[in-house]
Amino acid sequence: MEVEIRCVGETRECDKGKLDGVPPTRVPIFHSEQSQDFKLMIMNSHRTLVLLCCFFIGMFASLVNAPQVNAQDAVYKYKAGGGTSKVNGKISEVTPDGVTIGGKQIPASEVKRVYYSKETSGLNRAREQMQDGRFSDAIEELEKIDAGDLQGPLKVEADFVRAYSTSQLSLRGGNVTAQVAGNGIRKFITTHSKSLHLYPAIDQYGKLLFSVGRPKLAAAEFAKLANCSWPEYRMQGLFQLGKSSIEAGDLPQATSAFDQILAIDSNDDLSRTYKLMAQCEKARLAGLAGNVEPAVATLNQLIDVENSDNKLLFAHLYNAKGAVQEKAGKLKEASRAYLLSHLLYSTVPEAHSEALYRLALIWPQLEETDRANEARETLKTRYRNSYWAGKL
Amino acid sequence: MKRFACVIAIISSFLAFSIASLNADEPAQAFLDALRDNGYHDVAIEYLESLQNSELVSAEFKSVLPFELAQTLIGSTATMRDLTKVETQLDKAQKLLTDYAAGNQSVEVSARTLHYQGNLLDRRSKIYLSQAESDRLTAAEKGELHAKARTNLASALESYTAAKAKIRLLIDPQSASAIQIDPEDPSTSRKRDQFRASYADVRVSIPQIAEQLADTQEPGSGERVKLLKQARDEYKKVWDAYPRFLAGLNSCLYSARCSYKLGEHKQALQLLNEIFALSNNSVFKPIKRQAYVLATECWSKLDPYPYTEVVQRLDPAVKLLNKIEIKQPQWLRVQLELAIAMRAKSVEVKSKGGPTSNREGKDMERAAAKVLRNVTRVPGPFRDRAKQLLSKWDVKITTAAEVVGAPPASFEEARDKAKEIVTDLESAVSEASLVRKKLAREKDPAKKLPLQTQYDELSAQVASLSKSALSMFENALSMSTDETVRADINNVRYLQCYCYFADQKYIESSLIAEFLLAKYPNVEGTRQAMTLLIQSYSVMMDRAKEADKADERNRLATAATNIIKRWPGSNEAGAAASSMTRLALNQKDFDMAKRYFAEIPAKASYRNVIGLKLGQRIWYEYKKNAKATDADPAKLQAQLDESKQFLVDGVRGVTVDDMTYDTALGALFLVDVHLRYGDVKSALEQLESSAIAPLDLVKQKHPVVTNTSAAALYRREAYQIAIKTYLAAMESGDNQEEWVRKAGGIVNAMREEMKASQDPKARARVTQIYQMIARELKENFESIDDVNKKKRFAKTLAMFLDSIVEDSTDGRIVIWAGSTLRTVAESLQDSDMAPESVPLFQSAAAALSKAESIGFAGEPEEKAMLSELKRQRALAQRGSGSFEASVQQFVEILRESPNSLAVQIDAAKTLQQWGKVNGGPIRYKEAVKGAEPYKDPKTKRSRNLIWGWEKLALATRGKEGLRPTFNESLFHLIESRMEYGVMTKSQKAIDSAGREIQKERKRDSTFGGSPEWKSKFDALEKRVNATKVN
Repeated sequence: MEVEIRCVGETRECDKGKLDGVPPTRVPIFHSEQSQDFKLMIMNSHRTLVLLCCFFIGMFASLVNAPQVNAQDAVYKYKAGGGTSKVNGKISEVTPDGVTIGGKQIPASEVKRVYYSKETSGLNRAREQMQDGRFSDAIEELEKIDAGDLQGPLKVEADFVRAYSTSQLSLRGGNVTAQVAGNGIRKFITTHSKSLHLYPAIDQYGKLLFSVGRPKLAAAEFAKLANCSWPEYRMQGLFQLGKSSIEAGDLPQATSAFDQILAIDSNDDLSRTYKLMAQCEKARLAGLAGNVEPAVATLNQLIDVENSDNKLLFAHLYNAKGAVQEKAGKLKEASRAYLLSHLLYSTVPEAHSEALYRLALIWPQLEETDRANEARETLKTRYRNSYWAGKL
Repeated sequence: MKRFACVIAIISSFLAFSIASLNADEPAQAFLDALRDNGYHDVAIEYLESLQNSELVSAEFKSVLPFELAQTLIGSTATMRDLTKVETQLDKAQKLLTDYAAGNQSVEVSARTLHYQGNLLDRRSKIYLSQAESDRLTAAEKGELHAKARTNLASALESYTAAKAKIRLLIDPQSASAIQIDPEDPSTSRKRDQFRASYADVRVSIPQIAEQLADTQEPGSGERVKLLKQARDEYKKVWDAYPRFLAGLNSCLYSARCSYKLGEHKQALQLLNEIFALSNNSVFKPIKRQAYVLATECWSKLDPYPYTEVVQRLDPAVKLLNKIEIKQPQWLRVQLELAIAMRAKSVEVKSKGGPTSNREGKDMERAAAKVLRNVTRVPGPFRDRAKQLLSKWDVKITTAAEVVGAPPASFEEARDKAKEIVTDLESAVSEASLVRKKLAREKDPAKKLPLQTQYDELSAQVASLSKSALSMFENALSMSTDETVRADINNVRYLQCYCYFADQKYIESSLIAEFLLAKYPNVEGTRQAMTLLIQSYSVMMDRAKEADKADERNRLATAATNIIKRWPGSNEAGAAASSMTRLALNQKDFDMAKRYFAEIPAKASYRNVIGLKLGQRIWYEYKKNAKATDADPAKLQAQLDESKQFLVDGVRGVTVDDMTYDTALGALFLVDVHLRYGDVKSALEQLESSAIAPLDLVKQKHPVVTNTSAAALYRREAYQIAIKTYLAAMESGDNQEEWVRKAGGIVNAMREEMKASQDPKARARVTQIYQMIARELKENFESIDDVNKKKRFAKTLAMFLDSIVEDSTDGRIVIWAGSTLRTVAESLQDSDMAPESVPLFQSAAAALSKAESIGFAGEPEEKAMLSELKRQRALAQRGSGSFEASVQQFVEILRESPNSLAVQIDAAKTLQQWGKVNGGPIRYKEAVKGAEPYKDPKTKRSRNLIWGWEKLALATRGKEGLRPTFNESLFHLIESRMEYGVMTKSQKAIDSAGREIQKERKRDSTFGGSPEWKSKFDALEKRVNATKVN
């Protein structure tokens, strides 16, 4: 019996699943709908039925804790109209671009999760914890698994959970240095270069490099994603490439990266967001190059027209506006723009940390030292391992 | 409209009733009762008056019309606010009742009359008690009113007692006077029922009056105890007689109240148990609430404290309270007591030991803190006590709202928790604001220190609560999903705005509000944030550096315009419009100010205050413009009209309770505006007896004109305007003595204030006022055309100033009064009323002599003042014809200050006048050539102490700053020569005068560019040329 627990991040793939750092790797999950059904049954049925349910629950618990005994591998894939479907069979090949099961190739972008017939419950749990953002628990869970049980593709899975969780702990300001996390993720990339998790791992590695103040090296990593088959990682990679290049001072490369996003022939929600973000960053570049008024006009136009529920976009829009105004010497206006990012979009960490950094530098020039100290303090406590905290 | 509909409804019912009825009196009575029951006493009075000549009602009904009218008049006073009107109505009723009783001696009439006589006296006593509450009264005046109230209450008690006995005769079947019931005539039983109701009413009224009488006695006095016991027992009897009626239940409660007042707390609680036993029906809610409050007071006095009983009684009652009730002061008192009892109970429970008791005890402790926290949230009389208790119990308000139990798991949970913190934040903000105001008013450093500490603590509390709430809101927003309702998110954003605003982070607050306005203008929560937006921008603008002010002003203007455009007529648009009105006023852009002012909703509480500010500023502007010689009269009049309108509307819309310094100032300026219109009556009314009467405020030492930094300025301005008003009233001609008395009173008040003042500049300021009054008087006097009016005014002024001289022992005031008398006398003299001016000059000289005898010892300018006094006296003596004495006085001054130009001119002028009146040619000669020779000790040459016109002209010729003095000297020089020539019949002298003019004309044909002097010289030249003595 396979069960599915839907993690919080999955409901909003764009905001939480990928961009907040939860990897796209899928784990066996417990269907919440089934849980809901149980509840309803308990509420509405006779006592005997309740007891029967309890029996089944007991059975289910024992199955979850016991090693999986399914003979076949499985791939859960996204359906075009929503929901998932399951493909059973033998997984014959796994590459960064997809999985071949029962002779049929499924692109990586369509894979919700992969299930191996010999998978242990410990690995399953660790993956779930990673997806829930409980990275320390995930690492701890992996420590409990006998190394002998992790062979072949299972080892790849376990290595990824460990490397990814360590990376996340570092990026989120935990007690793991970026160097340690970087070593782990780099080792994964080198050792498992054919893994389905290669692109997410590269993405993490790029972010870690960026966080330790190596934007040029980070850009090189993100560049590796520029041509990947996974559209989400391709767009994200290009966007991060552009952003890292700006920090590295390579503005032509940044412009090229954003242009590539704009040239992508796709119009789904995610593509649209990245295209708007690319527009925003291009306006930032134009402003930084001295074309302040058109840049501000573009940014204001986007702010006026777009839906401000798009947190990622708006956080970048306000930061870009702040950067342009700052460059133009309009410090008060710049502070207002960064402040909006800080006040309204603090749930977008990379943009929030940048806004705090800029504010920490601008406020003293406006004789607002208390505010500057506050911004500095928040940056150092909430994003202590971030690029912006390091740069301060 | 509603009222009209109600009356129509009553008339309709009455018509329906009248069709069904055969007796014409019944519908009339029913209609009358319906009108009275519905509060339409004015209609009822008109109706009764119309019935006096009506044939529709019986003679019997007509006979009771005076009684009915009296009853209606008494009833009509219940809702009246104007105590004078109330008294008038009661006087009318009194007369009607007396006449009615005199004309009919039946038991029924007597019973009714006594009953309503009691009501009338009761009502009258309430008026006196109400009047006695006024802060404007002295203790003696209050005592007098209390005594009057007591007399009326005692009479009311007598009336009710007699009425009770009479009514009993009518309803007691055993009595010979009992109403006989005729089964065929339903009106007989109806009449009996009416008297039964009256009987119950009178029975309750008797102890009520006794209790009220007791309340007017000294606490602890034997009379008070006696009256309370009497009331308590009587209430009990009513309760026993009517246990199932509301009157009975109320009597039970009142009896308990009397017991409480007598210190019999347990007995009171026993009675209250009867009320507690009533069901929770909404009919009993008010009486039960009163019972709980009374019981609370009783329990708190008991030792040992019956906390278990308190919790048992109050906990269920408090749990039943709705959102409005929970904030009502009486229920807050009950909640406070419940929290205290719960806390005591928790100690008892915990003392039993064991984990269960410990847990239960802690639960109760938490529950007590929760109830108490609710009390701290509502500003009122119990908040401080609740806070003290929270602090005593070691429950901090900032932590009271801390997350208890698991952290919030959803947007809604986090938002609700944050909202709870915001409620505490609101309380802290409001309290901090009160303390800040107190701090600003306080001048004593010793008292300032604890206030500052309290304010700092509250500010820290505000910052801490704001931070906690913001963190929780952020938590909530991070848990928001696509399903989260937009309005909920907006509401959170609005509350974030508030939190930042409360923590004085105006940039943050305004940014969020701007964001809401731009992105979600139509979503709930945005509009509410707009007031914060405007307030934030206003503060930011005020605090901005000069270079940034324009930007901030633009931001404010843009936001305000958007808000007004989007939500016209709303509170938010009103707030925006008021901020913009203020801004426009600061920029002196009155058109813009008026435009924005028009956008403030009529019902907005701050509209009047802004209107007053607008009126004040326009008034300032008017006064400034009025001084300009080229001012457009039409424009000036329009400004004056506008100013008056704003001030009148503003003052009319503000009550004493919500008065501010600005309001008081507006009221004061309105007096001045009325004066400018020449409307002395309105000015006097506004000054002395309107709802906000500036002079009354000063007399009362009202806090807004006493404890503020601008208070001294206000009082000075008030005195000044008051004197102006009284002077204007004197000018008008009636009640002269009264105005003289009042103006004198103001002068004395100013003097007293100056004496008490520690301000070294106080004297100088008061002197300025005196000078202003003298100037005003002169102007007023000169503006009078009518000779008789002028004479009358002069007489009144002399009376006023003489009275000041007589009463005063202050040299400064006396010298001022003397100088002013002299000025008025001079004006009279200049108006060809020389004979009438002589007594005034004499009074002036006498006053100045008195001032000299009082002296100016200790005055920093003693010498200068003495010199000025002598000069004034010399002028007065000259005016009264005592030229010799006058010249001697000038000589005396000139010995001390020989170079004083003003005195030299006065002396020369005096010699010239003397010559003209009776001094002969010699005085003219002296006027021109000088007098009082002496030998200059330095040069050993002979010189004249009084220079004379010739030397004066020489000394001032060619000196730009002294041109007017030169003109004056030359003019008098020529005039003196001419008059000398006439007197001595010397054409030579006259011709020489003419040549002098010609010479000057050659030198400067414009006479220093002064058209006034030019025309004077032209006229003089004509006179000289026309004068031929040979």
